[in-house]
Amino acid sequence: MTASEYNRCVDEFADGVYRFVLKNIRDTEAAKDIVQDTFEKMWRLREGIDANKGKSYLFTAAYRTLIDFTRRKRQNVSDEKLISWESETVVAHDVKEMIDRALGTLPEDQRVVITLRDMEGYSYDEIGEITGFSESQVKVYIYRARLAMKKYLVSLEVLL
Amino acid sequence: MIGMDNYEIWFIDFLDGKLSSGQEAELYTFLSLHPDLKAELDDLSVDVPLLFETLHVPDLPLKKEIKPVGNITEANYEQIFIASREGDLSSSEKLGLEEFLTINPFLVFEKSYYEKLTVSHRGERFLQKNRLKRSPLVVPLFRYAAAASVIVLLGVGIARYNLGISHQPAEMALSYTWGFPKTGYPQVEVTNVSNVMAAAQTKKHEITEAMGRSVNLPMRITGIDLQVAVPLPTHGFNANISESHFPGFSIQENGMDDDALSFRQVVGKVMESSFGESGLSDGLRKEQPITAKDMVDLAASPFKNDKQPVLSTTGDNTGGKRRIKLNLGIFEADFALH
Repeated sequence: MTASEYNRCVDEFADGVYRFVLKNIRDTEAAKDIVQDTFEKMWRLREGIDANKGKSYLFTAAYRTLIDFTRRKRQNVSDEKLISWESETVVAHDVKEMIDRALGTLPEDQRVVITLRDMEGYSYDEIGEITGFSESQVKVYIYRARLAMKKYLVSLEVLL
Repeated sequence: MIGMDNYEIWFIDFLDGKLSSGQEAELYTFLSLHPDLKAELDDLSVDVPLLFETLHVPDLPLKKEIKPVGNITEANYEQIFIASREGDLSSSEKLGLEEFLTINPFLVFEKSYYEKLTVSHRGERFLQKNRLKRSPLVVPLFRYAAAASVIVLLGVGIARYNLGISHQPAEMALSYTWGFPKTGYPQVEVTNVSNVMAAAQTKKHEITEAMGRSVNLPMRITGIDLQVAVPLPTHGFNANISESHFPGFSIQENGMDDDALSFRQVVGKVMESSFGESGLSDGLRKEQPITAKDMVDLAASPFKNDKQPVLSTTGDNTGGKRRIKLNLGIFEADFALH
């Protein structure tokens, strides 16, 4: 990957990577840091990266950094607080926000695959490449996520 | 068919329990498209359960018996709905689902619920893209080109800085000459940096033969933006160069980012990026390799405290021309900005 190709990746994918990370951790500053780290890594390793697979590489690297981040955060936050984050009182402002809220109730793995699926349109096998899950695992996670989100929204009487 | 012109009649029929299962499904779908009308329906009768209760997807199966069709049953129909949403159904499975919904029309709404349940972004953007971007680099073919790149790097950076040019216009031309102290080398005329490399490659044999005698390669570069390619991070290039190194220049420290690199770091990065660890002399004088570290030391040497400043300007800014003379010890460079 040349510097120009790298810069093109910045232009084309930085927003998407940022949105993907932000949707999963809901922390703007941390999301920016992860995006920065992701592109730093791409630049360092650019000689071994096929420019045609730049997007896949970025999401893979972002996913790994994201997982590291959430694990570190989990170690620093008590279980009680984590649980309260997921069950805090819901105040509905719009449907998107309610869907985000439903997303926040999902286990991390399901949350990641559903955002890759819905926001980036990745196929099961592409999500598998990014996350390291098998294709069937990805499919199961997506199905479970949809079911759980629907039940959550319906329980809140959210009409889509 | 329910529409904006007759929905009130449908509402009343619904409240009176006069709608068929298929019509109820149609009403649910209509309300999902026009959620603002829900309140209107609720207002029609306080005695009727709230629409939400009626529309509750989980409630619907409780009120209606779900009739299985083929392999689709009450136990798995939601999985089938999700599979439909994900595009995982075969043609025959799609037909089976259509039949299932025909027989259980009150589930049409529930199926549409899954189809609308999509995680989406809010148009957030990563606004610091420029911080992520890197300067494209030319990879010189051998040591002379490498030396030239250092000089170009310095010259462009200095010229841009001192003339207050934050962005190189495409039509701007920068001409420069460089050479070893000994003169008489073959003349090479080039029009851009790509051609510098091409011309240098063409002359490689001559240069190799003449090595040690002299070098004098007048070059002309147009369209600096193209591939001089060393558009260094301008915010970092001059950050750590003191004014005393540049007699006649007024160094301003504004516009420097916190993460600005020192001159040495910049050159080091350029060299490292361009040549890697293998050095610069592959294919040329292998018996006397010049490594990236050598180049960094060389380029940094003028800025060491125990050395005399070797960078100076000649001429002036009048007439739209500025000349900068650069001497890095073993080679000199003359830059003129037109």
